[in-house]
Amino acid sequence: MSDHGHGPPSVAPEKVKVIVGFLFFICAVAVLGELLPSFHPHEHAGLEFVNTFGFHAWYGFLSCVLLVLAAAQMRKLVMRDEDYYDRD
Amino acid sequence: MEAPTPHEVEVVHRTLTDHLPILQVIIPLLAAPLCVLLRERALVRGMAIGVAWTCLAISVTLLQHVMEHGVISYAVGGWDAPFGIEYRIDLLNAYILVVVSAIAAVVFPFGRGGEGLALNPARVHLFYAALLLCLCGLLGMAATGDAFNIFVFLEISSLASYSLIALGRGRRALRAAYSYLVMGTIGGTFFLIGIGLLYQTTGTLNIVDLHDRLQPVIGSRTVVVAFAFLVVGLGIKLALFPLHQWLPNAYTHAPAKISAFLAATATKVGFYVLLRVLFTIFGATFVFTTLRLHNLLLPMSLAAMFVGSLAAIAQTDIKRLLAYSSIAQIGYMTLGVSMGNVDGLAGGIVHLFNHAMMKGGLFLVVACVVLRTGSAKIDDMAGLGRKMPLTMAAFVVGGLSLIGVPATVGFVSKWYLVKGALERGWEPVALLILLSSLLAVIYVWRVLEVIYFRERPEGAKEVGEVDATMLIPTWILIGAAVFFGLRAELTSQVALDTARMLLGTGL
Amino acid sequence: MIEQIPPGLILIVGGLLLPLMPKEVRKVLLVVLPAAGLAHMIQLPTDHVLAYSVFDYDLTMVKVDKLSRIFGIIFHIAAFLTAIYTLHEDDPVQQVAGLTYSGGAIAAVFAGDLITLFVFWEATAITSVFLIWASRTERSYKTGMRYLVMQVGSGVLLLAGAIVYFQQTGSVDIEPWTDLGHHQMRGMFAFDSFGEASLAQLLIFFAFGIKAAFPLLHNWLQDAYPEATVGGTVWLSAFTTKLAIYALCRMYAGSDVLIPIGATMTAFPIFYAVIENDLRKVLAYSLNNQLGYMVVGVGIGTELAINGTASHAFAHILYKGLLFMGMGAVLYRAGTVKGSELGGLWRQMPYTTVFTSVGAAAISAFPLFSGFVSKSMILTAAANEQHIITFCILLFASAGVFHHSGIKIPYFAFFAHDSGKKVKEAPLNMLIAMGIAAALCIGIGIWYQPLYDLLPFDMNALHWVPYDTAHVVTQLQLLLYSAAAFVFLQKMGWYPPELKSTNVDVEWVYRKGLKDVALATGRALDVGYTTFRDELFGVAWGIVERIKRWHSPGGPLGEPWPIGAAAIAAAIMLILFLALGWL
Repeated sequence: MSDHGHGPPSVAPEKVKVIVGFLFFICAVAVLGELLPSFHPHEHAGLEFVNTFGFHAWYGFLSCVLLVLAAAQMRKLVMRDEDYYDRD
Repeated sequence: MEAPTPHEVEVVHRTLTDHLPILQVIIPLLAAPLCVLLRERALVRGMAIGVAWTCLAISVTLLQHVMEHGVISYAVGGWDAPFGIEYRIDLLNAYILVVVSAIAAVVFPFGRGGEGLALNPARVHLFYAALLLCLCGLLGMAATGDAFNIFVFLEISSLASYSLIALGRGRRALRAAYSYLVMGTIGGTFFLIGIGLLYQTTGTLNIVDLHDRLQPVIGSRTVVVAFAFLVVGLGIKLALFPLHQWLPNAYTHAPAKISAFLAATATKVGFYVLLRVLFTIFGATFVFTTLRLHNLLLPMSLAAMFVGSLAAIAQTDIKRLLAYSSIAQIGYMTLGVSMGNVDGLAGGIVHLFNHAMMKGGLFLVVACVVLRTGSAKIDDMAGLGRKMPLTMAAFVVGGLSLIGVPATVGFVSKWYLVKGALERGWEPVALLILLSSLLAVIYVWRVLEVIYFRERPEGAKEVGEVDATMLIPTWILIGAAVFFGLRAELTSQVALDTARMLLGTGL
Repeated sequence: MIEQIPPGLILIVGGLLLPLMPKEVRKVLLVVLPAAGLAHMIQLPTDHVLAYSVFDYDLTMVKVDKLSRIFGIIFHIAAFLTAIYTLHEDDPVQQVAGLTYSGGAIAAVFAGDLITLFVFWEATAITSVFLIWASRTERSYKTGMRYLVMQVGSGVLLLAGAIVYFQQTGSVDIEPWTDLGHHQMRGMFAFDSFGEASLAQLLIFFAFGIKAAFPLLHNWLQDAYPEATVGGTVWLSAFTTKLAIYALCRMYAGSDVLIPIGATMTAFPIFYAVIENDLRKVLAYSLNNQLGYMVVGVGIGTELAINGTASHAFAHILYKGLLFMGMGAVLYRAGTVKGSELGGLWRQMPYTTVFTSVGAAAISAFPLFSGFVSKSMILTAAANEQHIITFCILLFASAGVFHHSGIKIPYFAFFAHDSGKKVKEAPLNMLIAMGIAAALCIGIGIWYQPLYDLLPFDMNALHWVPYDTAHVVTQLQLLLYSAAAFVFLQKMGWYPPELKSTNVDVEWVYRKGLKDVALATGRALDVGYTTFRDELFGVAWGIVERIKRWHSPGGPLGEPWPIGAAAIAAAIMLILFLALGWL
């Protein structure tokens, strides 16, 4: 799954597929949850956009993607050797 | 003297409790010749201890009484002041009486009889007679309200202490006693001259009365001359720098038990009389506003603190080290006086009590050491930390208190002194107080290093811990130094009240 | 009588006595003392006050109210669980440090004035550093020194602030909140912009800010926590920073400046968490992020926000402790917590995997876990007060938390690629501690009412219900799509690999920048100094020698003068005193 690592995947690829499939399934369920009759979003002045359909879903997804990509770029700036501070 | 009026006749019929101020002084005075008559060692020793504890009980009762009901005035023989001799106990001297008698009560039982004093057993009774006379003199100075009476008791205590110091080993003790005698006599004479001049001016010897009658003539030449003679005379008695010359030799060559008693009491009573003279007789306004005494007393105090501490650092004899340290500590007390405000004065007064405990305790430690090793050289204390752990632990605590570590009494004194200095706007002085504490760190550490980090040399005399008769008195004083460091309010409250009273009288 | 014992004292005194006990007794006491302390603390009535005086100043050793109570309770629980967790190891240094440290933190929480607070504030600093030094390596020694400097510095600022405040007002009492109406509270030192703050307010603000790991003041945390021992980090994670949150909450509630500070705190550490390799350091960054929510809550300062802060601190101590316990167990068994060297441990450490995952779910605020019932309160409070940007940042950070703490920690330690390490399951005592913590994480998530009853303000009056459909559904969306993003990034190969590295943070300034400057300055000074040294020494030594000679036996001031000279001195003094009257 990732390009790092030394040994074989610790979870069999077939099982991973099942798990990922299940994840996608409940992702879909979570969005559809907004259609439940008891779903009454809390209204806050200025925060109406939060209550648009599926907002938390795409906001969560985008947040994480941007977070990781930004962090990966940040490495160029801040990453040093492990013994950086120990050298004189 | 006038014939007693009916009113005064009534006063004569008093209960025993009313006589406490004079009993305090009379008991040791009568016990001293009794010692000479009895001669029996154990008996004499028991009586001396009994007298000391009785005096302690009396003085504590007096202090309680004064704290609750105010000043006690006792007319000796029923002749009222200003014609008769008045014993006047207020907060200040009640406090001094407790200090002196408490030290006596703890130090007298120290060791078994003449042990460690190198005394001829046949002369032990004389030793106790002198000790009781000395106690009588010190208590009398503190209790009386009559200036000439102070001089009389001053001489009683001084003569007794010359002979006590002369009891030390070797010719050097004799020489030390002799030079103390000369200096002490000069001091006593100065004091007498001062009183004489005041009597000439005012016609009274009663302290309170003196204050009142001095006010109209306060600025006159005679009064200033009297003031100078009194202060310098007392300066010698309390070993104020540079009048301290008698003290190092006296404390070094006297038997250590005597050094403990004198260091804890004699200079303290001298300091007390100085306070009386400055604040009760002359009054704070004259002393600080007219004469500006602080211009002279402050540099003298600072010099005492630094010369004393530096000299202590350089000494090779532990008794001499403590003696020089005493000179520095007396500097702290007079420094408090020179500030002329409540906190500073309270710092000086509380240090009187605090220094009595820690220096008394430390000299007792030295007495234990001298008894066991036969030497007072600092180098000969090497490795004693393991041989005499309890005694040396007492030295550690006492030393920390000298430095002024929090939770010891030394800290309480310095707290008030620094507070007083800051209040007065003397920031550099506050800094110097802290700086001189650093010097104390050095001289205490020097000794601790020898005690704990140096091995006992090969072939040195085999030594062990001292017995309970010495450990208990030592630890009572050292323990008190910690107890009153933790419960600082017990002593500092009395000191603050006293300081307010003293500064109030002159205003 | 028993009311006269301040909370925390049992742990401090007990802790100090530990070294005198035999090994087995020590272990029993280690666990019993926090329990006894809790039993004693619980029965103190609210409004209980214990005053004392030092010199002439009246101070308040103990002041119980609902805020100090809830922090007192969770601190005791944390001490109890950590004690169990460290039972397998017999290191008296850590045992004493752990107990006195937690006791100090508890006593600090109940302090009723700034001076008492300062005393215990410094006590926590001094005791806790031994948990770092207990690693007994050169590296941990240096880290500990840096940690100590920051912590003691915080205390010094607090003391300075207290003194300035005392000079202004003549009081050092910690005052209760002012109720501004509309459920809005304001702490005694609260301020809205730096321009309007007084010196005392600022000094104490930065004192708290250091311990609460505000941005730019934060780096001691990530520096120190990964260097402490296995148990030491668990001790550390519970007290220091939460004590700071408590103090902020009591004195700075309603300070507007805290809102952007807190929001920044939630956001920036998670970037570092994503690329950090040392998993305990990842948790340290994550801890920093969690503190951000609490700081925002304090800054908003409404009753709901303060309740949110208090409950979040409570829940956070448990799940963050649990996560540190899990990583500690991994470190203890595998000898490393570097993400690049781990993976696939779930087969060998199944219980640890499960418990750590519970902690991960709790920190991510999954419904039915403790983080959910506390964190959502702070977000709602932010929305209620229309802090729109802050709300969006908090939402972003919530997704990020799940990403690095919820997924990254368990994934790289227990799953991912098999590291080939053969290790045993964690010792029983560790499992028990983790088990209890995990049970509490779930228990609070489901039966939240007992926790709500402990909060400073009545929850029923605030009309707050954690579990309504909208809350649950939106939170699930946020989290599940974050998980989807993780899968997506892994599939695309965009996920940054775990690399052996050091990531430069603010600490660069003092660990590298200042050091280089100092070294260069030092070299320059050295040249100048050596040229003057001999001269200088010559003069100074001469003075010292002279002073010594004068005061030594035989010198003029170290030896009594002959009687004649002494008498002359007396005469001179007499003249001087006479002069006083004429001048």
